[in-house]
Amino acid sequence: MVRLPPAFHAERRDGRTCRRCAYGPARRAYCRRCSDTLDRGSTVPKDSRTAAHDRWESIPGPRHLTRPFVVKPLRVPEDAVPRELSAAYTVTPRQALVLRVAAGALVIGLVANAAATAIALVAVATALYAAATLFRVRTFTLALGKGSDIVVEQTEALAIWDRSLPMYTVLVPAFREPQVIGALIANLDRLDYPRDRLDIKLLLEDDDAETIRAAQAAVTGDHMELVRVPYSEPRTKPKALNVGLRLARGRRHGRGLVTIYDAEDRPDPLQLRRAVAAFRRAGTKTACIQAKLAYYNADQNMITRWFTAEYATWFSQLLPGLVRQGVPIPLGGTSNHFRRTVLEQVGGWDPHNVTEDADLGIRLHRAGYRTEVLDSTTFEEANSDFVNWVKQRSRWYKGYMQTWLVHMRNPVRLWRELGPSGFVGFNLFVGGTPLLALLNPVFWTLTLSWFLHSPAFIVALFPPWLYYASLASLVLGNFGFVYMAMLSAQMSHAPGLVLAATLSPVYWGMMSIAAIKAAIQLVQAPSFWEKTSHGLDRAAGEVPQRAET
Amino acid sequence: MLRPEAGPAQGRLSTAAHADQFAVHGRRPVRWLGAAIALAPVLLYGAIGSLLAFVFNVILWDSWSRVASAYFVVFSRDPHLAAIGFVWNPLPTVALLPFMPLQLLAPGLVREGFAANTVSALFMGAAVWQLWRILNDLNVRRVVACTLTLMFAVHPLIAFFGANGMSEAAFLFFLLLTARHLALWLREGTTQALAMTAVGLALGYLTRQEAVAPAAATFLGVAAVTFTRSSGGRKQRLTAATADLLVVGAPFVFAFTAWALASWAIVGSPFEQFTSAYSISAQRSLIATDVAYNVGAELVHQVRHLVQQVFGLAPAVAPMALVAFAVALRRRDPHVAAIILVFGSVLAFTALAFLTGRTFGWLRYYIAVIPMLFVLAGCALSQDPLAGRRSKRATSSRRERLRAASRPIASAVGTALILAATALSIPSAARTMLDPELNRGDDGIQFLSLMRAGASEDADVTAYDAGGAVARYLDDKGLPTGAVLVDVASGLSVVLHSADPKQFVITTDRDFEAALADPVAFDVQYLLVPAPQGQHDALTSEYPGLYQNGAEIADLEWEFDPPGMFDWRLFKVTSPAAET
Repeated sequence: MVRLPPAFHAERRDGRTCRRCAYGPARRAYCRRCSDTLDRGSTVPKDSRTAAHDRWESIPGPRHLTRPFVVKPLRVPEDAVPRELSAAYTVTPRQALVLRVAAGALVIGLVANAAATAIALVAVATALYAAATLFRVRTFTLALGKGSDIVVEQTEALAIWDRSLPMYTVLVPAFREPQVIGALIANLDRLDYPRDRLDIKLLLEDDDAETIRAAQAAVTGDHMELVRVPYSEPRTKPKALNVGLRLARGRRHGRGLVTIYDAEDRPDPLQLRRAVAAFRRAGTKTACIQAKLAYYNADQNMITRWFTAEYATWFSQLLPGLVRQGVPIPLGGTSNHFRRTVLEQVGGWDPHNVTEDADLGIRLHRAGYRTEVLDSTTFEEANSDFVNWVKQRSRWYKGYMQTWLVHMRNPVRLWRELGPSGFVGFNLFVGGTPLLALLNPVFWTLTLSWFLHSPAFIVALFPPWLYYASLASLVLGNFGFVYMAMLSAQMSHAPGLVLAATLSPVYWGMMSIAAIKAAIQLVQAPSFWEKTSHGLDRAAGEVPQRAET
Repeated sequence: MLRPEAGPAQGRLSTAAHADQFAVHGRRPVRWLGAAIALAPVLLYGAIGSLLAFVFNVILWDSWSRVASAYFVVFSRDPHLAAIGFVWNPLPTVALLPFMPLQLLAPGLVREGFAANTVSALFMGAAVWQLWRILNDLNVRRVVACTLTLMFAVHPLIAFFGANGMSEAAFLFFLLLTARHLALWLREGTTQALAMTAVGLALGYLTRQEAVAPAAATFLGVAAVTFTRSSGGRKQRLTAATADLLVVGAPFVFAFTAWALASWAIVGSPFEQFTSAYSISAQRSLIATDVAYNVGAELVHQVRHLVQQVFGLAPAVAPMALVAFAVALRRRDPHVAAIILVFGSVLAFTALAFLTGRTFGWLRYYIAVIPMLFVLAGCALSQDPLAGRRSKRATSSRRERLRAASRPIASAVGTALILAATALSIPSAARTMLDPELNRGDDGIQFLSLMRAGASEDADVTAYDAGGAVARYLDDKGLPTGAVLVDVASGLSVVLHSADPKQFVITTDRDFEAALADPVAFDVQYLLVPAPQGQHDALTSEYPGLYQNGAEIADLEWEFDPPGMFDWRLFKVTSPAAET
């Protein structure tokens, strides 16, 4: 790259634009968008790729491609996740034994002394409910203080010298989405990162001819590569990601970073630079930076409003609050940035887990690495259809249950690796999220029927001490959740969502339906589980016309 | 709405820069000083409280009544949470519940009402600490802030109500909490500050129903401020105002509704604090008589009484408000607006309730004027954060140099004047508290006047002793569970003194109504009735003439009638109530 004399820079301040892509105003020696030099006399024709291409041809790396940039590995790599942490099987024999013993004890208890057993059951449920609720409130309030997420100002992000930036691999899995490819590539093009250090991989299924064709037509530069993921079971998003990770450009043990975007994501253009700055600031123990997710179609209908308010709570308060407590955070589906070496060290994603992102967050923490939250937003599309929303949400809950079961296979080891607060936090958050959704309707029904006609069985179920405890945790907890959603909506500068947040109990009803669906699949037909994850290769932001096989 | 095109990061950036540039940052609190200021008053009030409870044997009826309510929740014949009662808002009583198990270790803690003194000491200590935080937010010089805080802590009315177990301490704490965060919100506009304001209002309502006034004022103020200061078109500003209103209002509305629903589900009326026969609002005729007797029936008398009380407590409050207001205008600091909104609305509400004959003219209702005075003094003494920078500017003319040189002197004189005006409140309030003319009929403060006059005929003290004597008499009889029916509104001293509280059927028991209607069927052997003194008594209103002649259902068995003490009569139930 040609370094221009200072005088030249001074002259450039008036806001000259790149001749090739009309991007500006530029203060650098080369265009930030297409990495073409901004030489005053440059007359690179608009459709030419040669300048940039020649440059990165000279970079060493395991990439050789024939035009148009399609890679097809011969076979899918073996699972790199250790088997004891893989969700390839749901429960271990020991866990099955524990579950059977617990179920047996419950049956014996109900036969021997039904009333006492039922009261004990209600007491345990109340205690768990209260604990999970209190943990959430505490997490939320912790995040209200300053400094719980990393803030990188625009100036700082732009000031990073381009040649000190690491190779950035952006993995974008897509499946049967030919119609969004154009928009996807436009969004990726907006990323402010030198192209000779950007390695975008569109991960497409080998038999998905339509999408591949659309992608081939739309690709704009040599920094993008189409990867045809060969057919193999399980056909999931994490498997595609593992394939992409193997093909990442740059030196194997270098400083390279990896991130994931979904096909309809609109990331903050400075997100990659911000992530680089955040990694530099956070230190080597930080292996992952989670950016915030929000929705661009919040105003579409009530579901998207609730969903957006929920996401605001999740990413702006709950996750930073978890970070503050040193609790492992379940990552969100996209916009998580990794150090490539660490990611390879822990074995990448678990292709059998339905919420591989959440699972990976826990595994990174167990391996001794931290995750931080970055104040930079990726906009996604909120699921706006009820049935589709329930499907998506039940998959998440199932994944959380799966993740909880996987990591609780050896609780003693988990305790040792996470420490007491991490262990408790993991149980209350990853286990507590589906649990709250499951218990909420039970308590609501009991309360309502008690108020309506006070049936005798409820009076018998709730001795006074338990009655007050559960009523308090239900009423205060539910109000607390509504209020937290309202505050998050307000803090994310979306006052229009505050009103929707006051109605969030209706949304919880939807969550409970999804949780029940997930629990039934988990209890009755664990084999059906594998099947559902078929074809559902992407957890978040599912597009309605996706066929579910 | 979320705007992906603009990008939230840029939005955040500009607001952060804006806040950094324009926010008036308060003084950073020194940690050990803050801890000392939070702790020392608690110890002081605790010490005064134990003097009151154990040396002078003084228990204020309301605080004792709250202790009794908490006691009944745990130790009565029918222990249940609803026994905390619905006439008063619940928080001060609920705060007493954790102390109840200590009854088993130290019976005096409950019987002498010391649990209430402990709770009020804790709350008043927290209130002092909140004042300290406000003074820090206001950027008051540390020495001055310490002086003001100390003066507030030893202020006679504050110290007395920190020590005597009444709910004023908790109420003041929540008012100060609300005012502090409302001011922060006005200044910096953060959602966190607004949420804390909301929580302060909700907890304030759960302490005292007067919190309705600052709540209403705050809601209006917040909506108006957001509407005027947010950007965008009319519709966007309306949305923003609605959102802020929801955020600041939701906890209050939740507390209000939850309490009303609980009251409605348990005692059948949502606003028991207004409708109950025991509530102050229901005693309009009693209030009218009391006010006419103690203050005067004419409005002029009442207004004069009010003015004497308020300005007796804080003589300098009006000029202080003017000075604070002037300083605020000069600095463009909205702090003072929050203070006047929160404390002013409470005072206005109470004054209005008194003038319209809805409440008594008691001095303690105007206690909010004290923190108001001190915070206003803080506003007047707050330092301009830009002052240092301004004075460094090069001065040219001789006149300007002279003015610059005289500025520290002027500032010292001003500070001294304002501190003196604030300190004036201490002797003045002490005199007002001890003025029998201004405190007639107020159980609480009357005690102080009586103590000064050397008299010992305080109503509460006698009720206390009388209760002990009646309880001893009943304990000696060794009665079974539920043998004595009594209305605890006046009989709480008997139940608290008894070694066997389960022998009583009390007003909060869920079967009280039924037992009252048919004592024989519920194996009630005795009816315990106090001498009618104008207060509501469930037994006397069910059976008129019971105290005089047994109302044909019971015979007088024993009469406790020592001279100068609270009279009690014990009736033995004779015939089934149904026959009468």
